[in-house]
Amino acid sequence: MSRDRDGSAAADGGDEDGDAAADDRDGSPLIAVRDLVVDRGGERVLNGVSLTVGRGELVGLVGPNGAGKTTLVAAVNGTLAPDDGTVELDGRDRAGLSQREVARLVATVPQETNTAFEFPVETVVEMGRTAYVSRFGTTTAADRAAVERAMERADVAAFADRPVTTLSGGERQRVLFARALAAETPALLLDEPTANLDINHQPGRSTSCAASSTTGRPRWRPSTTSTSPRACATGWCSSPAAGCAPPGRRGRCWPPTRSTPPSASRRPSRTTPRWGRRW
Amino acid sequence: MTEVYRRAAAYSAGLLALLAGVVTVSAGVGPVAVPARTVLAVVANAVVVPAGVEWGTGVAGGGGPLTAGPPLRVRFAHPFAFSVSETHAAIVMRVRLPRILLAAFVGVGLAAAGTVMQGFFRNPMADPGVIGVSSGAAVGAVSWIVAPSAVLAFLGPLRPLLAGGAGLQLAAFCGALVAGFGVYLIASRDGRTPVATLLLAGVAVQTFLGAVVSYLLLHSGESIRRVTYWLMGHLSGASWGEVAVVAVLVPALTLALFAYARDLNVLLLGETDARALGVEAERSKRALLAISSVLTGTAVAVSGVIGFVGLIVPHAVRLVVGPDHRILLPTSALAGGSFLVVADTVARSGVAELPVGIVTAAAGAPFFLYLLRTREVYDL
Repeated sequence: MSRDRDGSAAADGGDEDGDAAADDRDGSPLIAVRDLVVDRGGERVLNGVSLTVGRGELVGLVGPNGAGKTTLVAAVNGTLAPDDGTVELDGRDRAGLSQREVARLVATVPQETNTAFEFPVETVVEMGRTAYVSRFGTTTAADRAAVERAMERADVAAFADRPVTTLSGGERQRVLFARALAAETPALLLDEPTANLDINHQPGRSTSCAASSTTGRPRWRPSTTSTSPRACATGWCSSPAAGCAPPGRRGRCWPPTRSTPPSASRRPSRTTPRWGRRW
Repeated sequence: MTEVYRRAAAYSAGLLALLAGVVTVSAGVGPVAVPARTVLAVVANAVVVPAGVEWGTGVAGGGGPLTAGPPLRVRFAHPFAFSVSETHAAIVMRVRLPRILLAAFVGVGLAAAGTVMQGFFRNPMADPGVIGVSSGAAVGAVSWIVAPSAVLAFLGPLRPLLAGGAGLQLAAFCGALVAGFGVYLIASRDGRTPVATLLLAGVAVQTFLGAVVSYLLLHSGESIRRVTYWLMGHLSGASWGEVAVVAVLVPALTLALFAYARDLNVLLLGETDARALGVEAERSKRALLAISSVLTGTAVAVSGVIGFVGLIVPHAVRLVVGPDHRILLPTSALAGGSFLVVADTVARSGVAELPVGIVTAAAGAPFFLYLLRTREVYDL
């Protein structure tokens, strides 16, 4: 990743809302999603979602459970292939990028992960550099410096040598945050990033996000659903004007044209077990 | 971190020294005891170095056919000439060393493949044969023993290779690959191979192939003893030819697995996470499966189904060095080599020779239970 683009579109629980002064810097938005459709387990989870995120933007996404926030994250970071629509990262179609290239543009803090293995914290954070290390190579000084920085910023350096299995839920989540920071990508996706965090670390998290944004404009504002500096946190508001526009900025909602929360009609009965397809 | 590789190198060097020591001592153990110093002298005497190059000038003597190649002949010399008794030299070089080295390489291969399978499936009960490779090899080998002519029909194109009397090994190897590839195909859909499907398909195919082996056993008549012996895993009758094959394949394939150690670490966190971190999960999984299946197939083909090495050695080593495959893979491979050499030494020095599979199971299981009781175990 090039250091000069360290500006991040950080997103809590998803990531959207378009706009952006910063877009103009090199023409294409960092994340551009067009008419995205994703079916999971026979249900349409995302239906025609479009949004753009520019560099340096810090955007939050809120919505009821099952609204498709995580699915949108998965579609953007390449772990899920959309059924229709396109995702562009840094102006390039994601479908044409290797997983490695995607991982150099977008880092993700997952909602949950399998940390049942006794890896030391530092090793887990170092895995954030996977996309930079060649198969037959080893980590370089630059990789190690990135890992150090990430551990400092996520406040996990104090227990760098402890096995992740011995950490509390909140500490573990900070480790995953450090892992994502270590990748030093232009975009950072955070899926339910504060679920396990104590009150002391919630602002800390948001501050770190803000610090990684070049515009540095976003201010943290407490919220029960999202630590996004823009409590508008996009999306689900029926009137884009209401509370969605941060001071001095043009606000846009996702999905831009909808007047009702799209999830309402989308998640009817659970007749099909959601995991049914995966086996 | 380079720190990790430093630790891996230090552990590996120690375990390599242990393996060399175990091989040396083992070569001296048996009905005729040979002192370790004599063993080393015999091995040193066998060392050859190229001492010079001769340009052949005339026709090769003896009326043999003229060779078309360049008339270049490399002269070899024995730099060492320790005085050892002929008997000792023959016992060590012809009888014991091939068998011991075969045990070492088979142990390395099984332990490496077992380590990879346990990490790959995130399942502590996975072993090298989990996707049906060992069962496939068993079907191949047993069919060869019971009805070689039927197998020959299948192995038709490979007939030239059978000239050296390697029919049994070849049949087992082919059976292993066919079974492994079959399970992979069954479990794959739309270019994806979910690990859970693979595991279940492997179990089903193993059960089916077990039925085939049982049926063949019923009809094996005179050869039932040989079949049972093969199925228990054995290393007797090892030849230098077999050693040469495994000495090339096992280290090469183990190194290839080592190149995927980092991917394997990331895959432990789950496939979605691994992809998000930049690992081409499906491609890495295919490579890991293919390499470890060929590795297991090679080991099983020359030694029969030796259980527990690939299951217990990785666990025991993991309890000591942790789950990082960059350290775990080389250490557990080398530990597997030492373990199998020791087990085979016990197997052949009793009153009656035992199949080594019995020894590995009988000795490995209690040792493993001891580790389980004394160490804190999280997962895997």
